[in-house]
Amino acid sequence: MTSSAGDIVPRGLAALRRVITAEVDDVNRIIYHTLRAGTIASALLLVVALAYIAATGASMPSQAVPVPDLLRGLGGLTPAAVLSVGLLLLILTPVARVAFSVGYFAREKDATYVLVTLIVLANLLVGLALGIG
Amino acid sequence: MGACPRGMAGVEVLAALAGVSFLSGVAGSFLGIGGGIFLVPFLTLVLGVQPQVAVATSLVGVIATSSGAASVYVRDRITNLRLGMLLEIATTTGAILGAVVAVYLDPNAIFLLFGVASVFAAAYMARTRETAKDRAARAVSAPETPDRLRLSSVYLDPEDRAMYRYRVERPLAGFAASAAAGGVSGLLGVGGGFVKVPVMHVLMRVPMKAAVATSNLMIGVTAAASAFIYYSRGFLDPGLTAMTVLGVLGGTALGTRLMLKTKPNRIRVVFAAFLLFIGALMGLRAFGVGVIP
Repeated sequence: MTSSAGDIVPRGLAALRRVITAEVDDVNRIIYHTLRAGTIASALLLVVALAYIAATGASMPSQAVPVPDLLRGLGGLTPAAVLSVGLLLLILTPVARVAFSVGYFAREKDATYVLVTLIVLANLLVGLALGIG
Repeated sequence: MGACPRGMAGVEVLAALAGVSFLSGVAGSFLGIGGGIFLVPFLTLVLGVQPQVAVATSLVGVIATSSGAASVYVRDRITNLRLGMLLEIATTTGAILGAVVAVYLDPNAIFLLFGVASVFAAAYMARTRETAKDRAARAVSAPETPDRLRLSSVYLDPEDRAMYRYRVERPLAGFAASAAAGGVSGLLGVGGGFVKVPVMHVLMRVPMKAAVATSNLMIGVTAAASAFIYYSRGFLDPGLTAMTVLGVLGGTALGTRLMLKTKPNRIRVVFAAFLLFIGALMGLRAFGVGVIP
């Protein structure tokens, strides 16, 4: 099975993937680990809280715990608090992804993309400020 | 916040929500869109959830679609990270401006405008065939142009096991169009993936799979700021949202696998059909039939 396009390299997919990885070994690794860790941690917390609710017959919380309460620990280890932390982790994962990219490009001394990622981060913060204010 | 009428939040409802979220995750990761266009109508029309709670749930679902699928596409180097980050400047700025000016504009006119634009984009998507010759030609011409922003990239298509080099054309026009896409997000409260993919593929000549993967990465950032705002205002229903997230994450596992194994031209045709569907929804909304809030 061959196609007439591209640079066909008649080897296994794994070998091809290594070729690409070597060439485009960029900020990919940091971003991949950030996104994966964020989604897995979030999904675990959500599953644990839902399983607890299902097992104990506790009522499903209808409102998330506000961030200040979570920080002060008022939520305790209630299903609502665990669900809220799980959802917040998921929401903040893309923000963390942008922040880590800034660090990566700074280490690589890639001034253009330090600026690019900093502007994106600043826009995100302005958006948050507009929404809360 | 009574998201569901009492007695409705039973096991069947949660199971149905998880099922629809799964499908939304499959479609979202396959097409590079958020899936809010499926989630919001289901939540409001079928489950009777109030609009703001539905949008909050859907925004978190969009983030789950983005992060779940992007980890696969970034790992496999399909995503063009520099292009994504550059266009994120445009989409986030556009989203802020859109949200600010939204109050001064007639929403029906906006819906009509974007409905018509979607139908035109559908026609363009359906027409621009990405032939093998076309892709190979792009591969040859890639290194010859100056590329100060280092947007040129290469990816491996697991479907035909070939490496494709490409350069990104018309970066300025693409940047401006992405700002408009961000504006739509802010104005209408949607992710805007349905604008980003055609902009990258048709205007900037990014290969279909790279456009899908890059759009998928970008929608997460746009949705994150809005989702946090909804969270702070107390519109997030933890139970509904948790079911949505888990359903979506399961869907992205299937959707990413499908996308990687499908011929780019098939994805393009499915995307064109999806644009027609969006155009119809927006047209209906412009004339007062509210499927989307």
